[in-house]
Formats: sequence, structure tokens, C-alpha cells
Amino acid sequence: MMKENNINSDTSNEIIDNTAPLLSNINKNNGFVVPDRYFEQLSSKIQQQCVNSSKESWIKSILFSFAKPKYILRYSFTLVLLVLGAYFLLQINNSSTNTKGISSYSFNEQDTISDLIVNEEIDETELTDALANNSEIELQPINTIDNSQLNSNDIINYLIEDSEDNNDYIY
Amino acid sequence: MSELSDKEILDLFNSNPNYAFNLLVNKFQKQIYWHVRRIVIDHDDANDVVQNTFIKIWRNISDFRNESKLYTWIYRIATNESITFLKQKRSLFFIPLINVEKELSNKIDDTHFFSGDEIQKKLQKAILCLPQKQRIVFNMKYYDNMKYEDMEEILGTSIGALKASYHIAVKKIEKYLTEH
Repeated sequence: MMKENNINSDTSNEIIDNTAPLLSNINKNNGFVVPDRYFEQLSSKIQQQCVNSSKESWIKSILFSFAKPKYILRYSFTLVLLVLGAYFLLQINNSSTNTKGISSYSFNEQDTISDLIVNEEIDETELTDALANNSEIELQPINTIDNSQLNSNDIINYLIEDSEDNNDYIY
Repeated sequence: MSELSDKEILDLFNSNPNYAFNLLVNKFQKQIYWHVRRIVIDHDDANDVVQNTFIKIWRNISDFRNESKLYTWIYRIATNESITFLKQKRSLFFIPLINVEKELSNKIDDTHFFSGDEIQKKLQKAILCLPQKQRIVFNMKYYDNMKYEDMEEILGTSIGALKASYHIAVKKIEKYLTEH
């Protein structure tokens, strides 16, 4: 309380009287010129400015709120995320398309091979010659004959031709 | 009609904000104008700063809490607006601090701006030689006879520092007046 009183009593006049005799003799009127009737008009000018500013301010505040640094960071972060997301989505789409392509390609290839086997006329002699020339390949007996399509007479005839004993076969 | 207190004006903002603001402008416009004028010197500049100050008050009056006095809050806005204005002036024209003060000092010689006698003119020039914050402190104490507690709220500087600043300013001005 004492301190407060000291501060309040420490007026500018006391300091100036004590330390600045020249300054203490100067009239405190600051001498600046103001246009006539300025203060009478100032109030209405300010009111008008405030009305105009409040009309503009909400539009400006919306526009400029988006331009604040914190929002710019957020927007750029979101944009980067969107770009990365789009990139990965495209990558996933591309890889699935490629898988489809390979599968369809292999399927087509199989088709083509089977087509080749079925449609192309391969000479049997060429195959036997090729196999005979290649000594490393051992020919395995492959039973390609459908037994159900053979009758007993055919088999007997075949065995007679090849001098085989039919008793070796069990029916 | 007697002038309403700050609290009464603030209470009126809830029921009739336009009327309350009109009362607030009428109550503080002269004080604020002179405070700003002593910082920026030029009338047109002061006029712009004062208008900006009141626009800011109008926009932010709803955020005003009774933690500080209304008039110290208004003074703080006006002081900040004036400092910002001078900063912008410096950066806009790429002129160093010393030249802005010189430019302001030249305006005092212009009779359109200043009608005081020679000693008053000399005092204004002496004040312009002070560093910006010291100048503001001196003006607030010398012309407005403001309490140090209120100045502390406005400028955010301790009372001790404000007293020291004012004492130094007085001595500098006295020295200037003696030498010139």
C-alpha cells in the first residue's frame, strides 16, 4: 500500500521540477494542428468504417482463414496424402491388370500349344527319327491305346503278328 | 446527459452494440487521437491509425474481459497500431529508423502540422530524438499524466523500468533543450 502511494505520488511534474527546470517552464499544450470540426466528424467516420468493415470482414475472414500458415500446412499435408493415395491406388490397379494379363497370356499360350498339337500335322517318321538319333533319350512304353475300344480279335491278331504267346495275357 | 462509465458502456454492448460503440468512440476519440498523433506526428497518418484502432475495438470488443480496464485496453490497441504503422512505413520505403524520425521532425517545421511556439517546437524535436518506446513512455506520463500501473498494463513493461525510462527521457530532453 505504501509502495502504491509512492508510485502514485511520483508524478511527472515532481520529477521535472526536480531534474529539468527548462522543461518545467514549457506549456504542456503540444501545438499540433487539427482540421476544423475534425472530432465532430471523426465519430461518424469511424462508425461508417466499422459498418463497412463488418460487411467485408466475414468474407475476408473466411478467405484469409484459409491462407493462415497452420491451414496451409494442413492443406499441403492433405494434398501430399491424396497424391500418395492416388499413386498407390494406381499401382494396385496396374499390378492387378498385369496379373490378369499374365494369366490370360498363359492361357492363350496353352491354347496355342494345344492348337499346334491338335491342328498341325506332325509326321510320325520325323518323330521316330529324331528320337532314334538322340541316344540319350530312352523310349518309354506309353500305353496310349484305349483298351475299351479294342476287341479280343484285334488283340489276338496283334499278338500273332508279333509272335507273342496269348497265354501271357489275362483277360 | 452525463458520460457513462466504462462498465455501463460495456454492459450496453449486450443490448445495443451500435449505440454503445458510438458512446465509446465519443468518450475516447480525443484521448486516443492525441496519443496516436504524438507517436506518428502527421495528422493524416494519425487519422488512419485512429480509425484502424476503433475498427479493431469494434471487432474485438466481444473478446474483452474485465481483467484490465477498458481504457488501458483501448490505449494498448492504439499504441500497437501506431508502432505497427511506423514499422510499415520504415519497411515500405526501405528507410532506416533514424530517417523516419528525421522525416517526422521535418513535419514539425511545417506550419500546417504545428502551430506551437519555438520552445514547443524544440520540445517536440527533443522528444523525437528519444528511442521509440522511451518516447511513448514520456508522452504518456508528461502529456496524459498516466499512472505507472496503467502504463504497465498498456506497454507490458514493469513499473521500475517505466520509471527509469521516464527519468532518462526527462534528462535527455533537458540536455537537448540546453544544447539547442
